[in-house]
Amino acid sequence: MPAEPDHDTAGDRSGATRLRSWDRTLLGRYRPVYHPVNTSCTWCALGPCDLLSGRKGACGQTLSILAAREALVLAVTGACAHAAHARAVIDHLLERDGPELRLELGPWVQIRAPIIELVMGVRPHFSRDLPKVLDSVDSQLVALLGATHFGGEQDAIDLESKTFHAGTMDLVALEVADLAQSSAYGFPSAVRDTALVPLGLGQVDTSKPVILCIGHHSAVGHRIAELLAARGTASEVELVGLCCTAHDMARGHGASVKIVGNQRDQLSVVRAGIADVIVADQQCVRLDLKDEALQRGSCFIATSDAAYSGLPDETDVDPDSLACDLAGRTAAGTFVSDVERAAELAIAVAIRGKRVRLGPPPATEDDAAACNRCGVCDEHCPLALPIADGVFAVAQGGRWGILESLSQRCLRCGRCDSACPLELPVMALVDAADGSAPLRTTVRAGRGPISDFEIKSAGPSIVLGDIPGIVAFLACPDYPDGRDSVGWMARILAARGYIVLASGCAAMDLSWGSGGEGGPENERQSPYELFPAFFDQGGLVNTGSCVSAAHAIGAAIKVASILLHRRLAGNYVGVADYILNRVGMVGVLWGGVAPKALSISAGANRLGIPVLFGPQGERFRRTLEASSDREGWVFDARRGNRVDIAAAPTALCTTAASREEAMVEIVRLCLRPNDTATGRQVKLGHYVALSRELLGEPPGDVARWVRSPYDVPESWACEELTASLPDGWVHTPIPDPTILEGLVRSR
Amino acid sequence: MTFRDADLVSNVVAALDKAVEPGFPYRLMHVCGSHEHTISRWGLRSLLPEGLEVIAGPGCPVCVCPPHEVGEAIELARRGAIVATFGDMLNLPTNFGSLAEANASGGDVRVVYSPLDAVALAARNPEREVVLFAVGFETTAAPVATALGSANLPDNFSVLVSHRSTPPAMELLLGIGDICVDGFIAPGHVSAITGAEAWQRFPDAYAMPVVVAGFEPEDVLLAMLLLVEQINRGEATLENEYSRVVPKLMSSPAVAAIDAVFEVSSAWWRGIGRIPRSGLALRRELGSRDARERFDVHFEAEQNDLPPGCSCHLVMLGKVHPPACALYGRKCTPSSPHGPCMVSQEGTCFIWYTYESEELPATTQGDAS
Repeated sequence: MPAEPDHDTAGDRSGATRLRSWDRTLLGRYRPVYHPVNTSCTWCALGPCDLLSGRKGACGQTLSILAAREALVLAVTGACAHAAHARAVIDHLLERDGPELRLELGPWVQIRAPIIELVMGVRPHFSRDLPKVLDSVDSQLVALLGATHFGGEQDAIDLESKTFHAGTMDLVALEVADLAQSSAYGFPSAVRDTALVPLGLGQVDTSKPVILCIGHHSAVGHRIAELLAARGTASEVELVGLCCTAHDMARGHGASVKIVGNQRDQLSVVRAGIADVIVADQQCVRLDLKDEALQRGSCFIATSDAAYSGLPDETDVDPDSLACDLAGRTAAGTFVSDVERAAELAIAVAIRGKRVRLGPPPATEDDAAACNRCGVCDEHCPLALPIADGVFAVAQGGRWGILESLSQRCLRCGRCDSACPLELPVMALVDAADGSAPLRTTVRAGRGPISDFEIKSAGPSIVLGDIPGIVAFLACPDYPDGRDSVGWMARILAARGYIVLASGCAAMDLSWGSGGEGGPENERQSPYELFPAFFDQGGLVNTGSCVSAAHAIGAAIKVASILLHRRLAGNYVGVADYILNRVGMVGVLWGGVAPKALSISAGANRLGIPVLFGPQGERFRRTLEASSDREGWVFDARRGNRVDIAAAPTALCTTAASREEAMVEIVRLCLRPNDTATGRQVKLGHYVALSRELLGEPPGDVARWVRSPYDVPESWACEELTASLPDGWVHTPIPDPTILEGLVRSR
Repeated sequence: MTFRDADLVSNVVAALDKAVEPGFPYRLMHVCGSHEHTISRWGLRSLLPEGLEVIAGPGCPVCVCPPHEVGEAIELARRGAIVATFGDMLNLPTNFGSLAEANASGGDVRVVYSPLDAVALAARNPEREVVLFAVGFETTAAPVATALGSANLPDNFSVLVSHRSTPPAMELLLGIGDICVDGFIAPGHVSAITGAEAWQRFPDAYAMPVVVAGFEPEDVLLAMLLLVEQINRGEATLENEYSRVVPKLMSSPAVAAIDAVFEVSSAWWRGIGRIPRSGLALRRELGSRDARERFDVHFEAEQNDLPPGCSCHLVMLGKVHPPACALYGRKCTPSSPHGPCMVSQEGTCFIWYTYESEELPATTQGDAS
């Protein structure tokens, strides 16, 4: 068992509650605001129990506890997914490379595992060190899930504390996975100029056999790329990827791999019938992907025991023989768990010749003709798009305008298809209405960690506020307002000097930020081509797949470690307090929908990093907000007194209804109590300017953030500021902020 | 006011004894090697009452000069230029070697005592390029600016700029935390250039008491007393103990000279990182006098800019005193310096090695790690 870090809870036995005091301190400032999805509980056989209007359930549960419990289960689920993925990665790599593989991220990264070191108190050096870390993660996740059982944890705040811990375990698992795979595959690490990789369906050369890898564990994809390169046949086969697998394949093989898209694009891509072979593993893979693939004539190879997909296990069958056999099957699906065999099989199927690909089903006015505008599709659309109006307009007069406009926002989830009582091909009609050419752009291959040198270079500017903030776009692509939303936000932020980080599906979608003015979307430069790929002012950095989100979080930890020379082991609370009060970093999970999004955000929150979700974020049951009618406070460590200030950040977990509102909230969430005068001036300047530009008026709370005349942004006229200063406004000195009474110098 | 006056010193020390409240830690920081020199040379720490600590911040321009800039100077010497440098820079160790080693290897590195010496050198050697390696705070930037602005400046003269400005570094110290300072002793000579008002934002925005001090032992002790009294009253103001030299407002001619030639830029501080707005760069229109542009010499900052085991970064941040460093006095001495703080006569380690007793504590009271 790795060494235990700060142990401020005497009653802790499992390790899962050792930071309870810190959690309760944090949650005292950022109280949960519950947004229950279910108002009656069906968790046990005594239910359903109606919990509205203050009622209690049969077990004594209240609505708040139900919401908190459900959030914890979601967070544990997300953390378990990443932990299972990490386990799969290290099991494979231990088998492939043995226990003595040195964990290296290159000469520019000496603090290789800041999260593991901070949380577990150990520095892993070899691959054999990682299973022990995961063992600890596993046991703590079991303890957390156990607390959700009937008659378990009965305090909502303690449930939130456990949710934080699930998030922390999630971050550890992420770091284990990426540290292992980066070291084993020799990914370029902390390198600024990683390859620009083709992205989009329009980039795929369908004149060649196409192998499409989907999922999270990229081992098979890597092996396919290696075999093709070794045999000199890489140019004869089109190797492409979807989702995080694609990110990691691109890290290892650069532009020889193409990224078709992310989780949102799965159904469209598979229905397009471009793939001769689909290799799927686990997580974020559509649960109907196998059926859709087989209908289109693609060969489907499942490779993870987490997702057998009902297929026969033919791992022990010779790949060439199996390839022959699959050619003769009507539904060519199989399960092969061995990485080498799965790779050989995929290549063998692909090079046997192109299968008869069944392209996208036709969608014409005739397909819409039967529509009676019942509206069931609208009811099932996650975004409540006016689909019925659109299809009916096509049916009635061949007017495609409504469908065309909503096609930009459509998540391509296919719920409308399955809901339509007339079984109309609704999604195909939406696709047909989207008149744009097949998408094509570029994304910079993931670069993994932020180097220690970059932290040293940019760290002072981040702490002082001259770099106004670090904004990390993470998680899922299910945005409420179109594919280009995160790219739009990222481009504006980078142009204003923020550091923009990204991972996972969001990192791919940053490419659609309409980097150039005018012209078709396909012809505009990707923001990755416009902004430098360094961790510094105006930089735009793709760290890689979802597991690489650990590097975004790790960067905040490293600011405390490298700049301040603070030890990490056993110092979680000190580092988290530092980040909360001094490092202006925000996570944006604009499309976050999977449980993993909640677990990542919980882990970030506990470290003092606020997170902004899109409007769907409330479905994670709760937000964490500073009370609007109770001003924030900090201790001034230097002077030893408690100082009442405007709470900064204003929330730990919050949502925004539109991208414009999100932009203004993001820059506000970058404010920190210790901003220097110049830094506060810079940040407020962006806050005022963006609010004027995007919301049509200056923000109403600027005066709250002005501590002295030195803070006044240049864009704020003196008259405006004077008019907005409340009566009795008092000059407040910049504190040496902490929320830990133990760090205050005693007087 | 008389100086080197034992009675005056006794009176000030007695006042400090009376002012310092027991059990109340006072941490004062200065950011000037000359102040550390005064404090150590005259044994002022031994006179201070218990509970009053004075620590050295990043006040030595040689110590904070990053190795890559020394590397640029060495490269220029290697290319045949005469590199004029101030004496302390000669032995500064880096991964590129030192300027002294470059000189020994055939490069032409010469010690000068003012920028005008370098200008004269250029005038005497019209057939060679002469580069002044300009290292220092505002006190050095002003004469360099004056030299660059002088009439009949030789065509073969250029400057490798390595100037830094202290106030942003002080803001960084306050911003990064852990340093726990109750008051600043501001450098008198820098203030003579910038005016005392350059420090006004510290009491105004940070409620941080600041006293501008001269360099006699009485000056420094008086500054400490003024700071302690402010702390006791719960006040934060800017006081000028060095009013016999330092004006309230900016020194117009000096600042005008600097502004005419330089613009504010970010700068690397060895052991600390890149501090925004803390450096000076030549204005674009003076590109021909900028040695980096003139000779296309641009070295990148290094990840590891201190030798292994060196604690200069902690000394410069005021987190430890020199004896805490494992190399101090053992592998690192003035005759064989490993870290930059042991090289310059303004370096804290050099000063301590020369003057301070071994009984002084290694760690400062505020070390929170």
